[in-house]
Amino acid sequence: MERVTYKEQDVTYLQNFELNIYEGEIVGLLPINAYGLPAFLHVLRSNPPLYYGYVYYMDTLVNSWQGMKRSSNRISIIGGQSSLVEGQSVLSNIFILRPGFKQEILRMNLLKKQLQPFLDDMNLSISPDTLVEQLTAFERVMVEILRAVVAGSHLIVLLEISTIVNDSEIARLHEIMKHYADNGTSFLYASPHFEELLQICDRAAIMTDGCIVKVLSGDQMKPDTLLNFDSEYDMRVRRTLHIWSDDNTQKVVFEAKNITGQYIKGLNFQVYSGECLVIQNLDNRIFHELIHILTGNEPMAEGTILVEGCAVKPCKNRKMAVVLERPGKTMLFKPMSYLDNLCMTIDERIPGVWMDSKIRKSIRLEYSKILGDDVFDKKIDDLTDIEKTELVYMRIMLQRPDIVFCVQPFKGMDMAHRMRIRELQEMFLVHGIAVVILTINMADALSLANRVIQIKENTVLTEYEQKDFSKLPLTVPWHSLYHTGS
Amino acid sequence: MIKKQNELKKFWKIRGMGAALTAFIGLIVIYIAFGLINPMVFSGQNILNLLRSMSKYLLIGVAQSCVMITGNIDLSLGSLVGMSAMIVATLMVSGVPVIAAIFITLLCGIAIGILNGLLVGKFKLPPFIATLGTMFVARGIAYMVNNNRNTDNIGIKLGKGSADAFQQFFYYGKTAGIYNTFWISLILFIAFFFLLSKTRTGRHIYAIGSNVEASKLSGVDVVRTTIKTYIFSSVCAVIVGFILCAQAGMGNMEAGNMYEMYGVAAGVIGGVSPLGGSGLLLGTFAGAAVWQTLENGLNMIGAQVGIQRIVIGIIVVLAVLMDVVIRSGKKIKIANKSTK
Repeated sequence: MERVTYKEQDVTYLQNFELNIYEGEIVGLLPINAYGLPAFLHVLRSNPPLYYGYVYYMDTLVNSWQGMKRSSNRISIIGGQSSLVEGQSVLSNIFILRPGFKQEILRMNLLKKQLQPFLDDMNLSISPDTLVEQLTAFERVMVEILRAVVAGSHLIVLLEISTIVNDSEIARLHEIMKHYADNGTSFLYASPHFEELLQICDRAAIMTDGCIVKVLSGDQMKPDTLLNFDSEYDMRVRRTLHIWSDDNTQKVVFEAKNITGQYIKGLNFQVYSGECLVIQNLDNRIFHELIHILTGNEPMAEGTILVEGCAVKPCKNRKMAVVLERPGKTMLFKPMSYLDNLCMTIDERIPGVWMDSKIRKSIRLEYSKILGDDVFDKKIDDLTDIEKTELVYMRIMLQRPDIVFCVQPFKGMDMAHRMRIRELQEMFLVHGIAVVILTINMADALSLANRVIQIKENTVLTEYEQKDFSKLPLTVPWHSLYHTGS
Repeated sequence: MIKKQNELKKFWKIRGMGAALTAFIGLIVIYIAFGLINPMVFSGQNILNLLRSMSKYLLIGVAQSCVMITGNIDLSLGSLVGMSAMIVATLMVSGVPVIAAIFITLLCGIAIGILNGLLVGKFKLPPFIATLGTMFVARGIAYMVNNNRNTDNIGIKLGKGSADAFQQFFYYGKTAGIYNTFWISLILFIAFFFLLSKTRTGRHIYAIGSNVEASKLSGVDVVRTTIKTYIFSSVCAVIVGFILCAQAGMGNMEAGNMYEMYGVAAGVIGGVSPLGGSGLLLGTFAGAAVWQTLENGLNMIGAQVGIQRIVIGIIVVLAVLMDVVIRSGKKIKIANKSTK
């Protein structure tokens, strides 16, 4: 992409955007903020009309400000949202449901034979007849890569893939990426964590406000290169790293006793008041089942959940709260006002809240000092992403639970957003509310944790106290600080 | 002055208020237009009749709106009207005292409401299918209650006094110069308006229509709230059944036919979103009034029944289209804002 400026309805999303990716190269993309990232992906794949600039794909000019040459480029984007068709088999998704497949009469056995070498190449043992919904997250990513390769995509974009697959699977994914890169496929690996890019990328481009501000070449790919770009966040984390000391003399507020489901087998753990516990799930099926159990969407086959010693049904008790992934999108009541959203869970503590507008006015007065007064007059849809997240966290603050479960809180967030989420979680901790972060990627979460529990296949637990964090086999931001204890 | 402006702004910003006021303006325009064509439309007696006739639609509209705000639908309302009209009439014809007959019929209606609520809330059946089933069940009961026949006059065993009291109370009687039917529907309307806007249950109803998942995480008992909503709607339908029974002085097996759709129409004309989560009962009031005024006005200017149906159909489609356009317009606006 050469000097690309892209506008939509007079809003500039990409400004003088320059990025070159060579054949067989793995290039990292580090978005400091999320501005322009969706527009970049759109320009990359769909060749929309440009305000200025040129886009080349496979040495051919495919789009320019003078007019587009091709409607779309064969570029695959793999991220949190699966592009595979559910209800169809792996074989169908890879061969049949792709552009260019013209066979009318399907010869399934032949297609299976054709697929096998690809699966062997990836060292992937899945049946071609497996339905997409039966795949694990890692297998799903592998199938999407395979489909991209078979469809002839010369560039594959991987978006925040570490929030979908776990550490050991990431290592395997990197091997496969290198294998295909050697065969000429290029990769663009987008992640908000520079440490992750260091592991695999030949070069990395830093993007902010819809512009590439720097491209780091091979010799600049070192951990300390990036300090200038995230110094504020870095300083904040370093300042608060050891504030949340592990004090196990505190009382137990939450206890999971022998939780058993389809994949989870006899899961036990305790959470102490005011502590931050990170639960890293290394098995995706267990991860999703645990979330479903905690949100009350799936009943437990066996086991008990105790909050302050009393058995509770998840989410029926307001002593326990759950913040879902991307709460701004999943946890707000859009037709309701800001104040109504804020007060939604307070009616158990203050039963008259909906009758007496004075109560709501006083809540508004109190919280406008923290959230600002103008947000109360905005519609939910008009709030910024950070304001939406603040609203969800503040609602829970008003609810005053004993424990909050945060599901992948930093997933898909830019740096400013992650900083704010961290502040909000710190606010819970200051008020003695225990925070449990359920995550696949330990980046960001580790720096706030008092304890880490890793859950592996068959629900095997490995627990790490803060003093043992250096033993965690991870390459995440601020992990090195635990080695020195600084 | 600024304070007044702010208050006005706040009032306008209340969710669904825009649609409700638009419906009211539409109502006034339609009414005046018909009045100019036929001045009889403005006569006092016509206004009284109009208020009485719209009461049925208002109650059914309130019932359907409550359900629609939760993101569901109740197709059994019309059949429930027929069922309750038949049950209460059959009981009275059999000599059961009026109060007892009313009480028993209410219980039967509530049972259907609970069944709907359980099917939709607990067993997660699509509301369209679940209530379609109970629609047939309720209509079947209406047929079976008096062995596939309409009932005789309700006063046949009770005596003229009791039957008249029932008819006066629900249909023919007046209080302060206005028919009781209107007062009954107005009282219920105010009660439901209060329930939706000022109570915890009301917030829960809006919440589950807006975002079920978030509601669960906010401690809302989705099953219980859904059941409650279907009970409320059933109670309204049963009362409409009483009104129809009082009007005819007998039970009619076909009573309430298509009323569920009138309820949907009253709701959507008044700005209740069929997608759930938003809408004001004030809008439903306007919607029911628009519906009845159209029917009444077209009648008075001598329009054919077919024309009436077409006009009403077009208005319903336009109202829903407006909702969809507003929502999609908002989405585009949000998309622009979030990428800025």
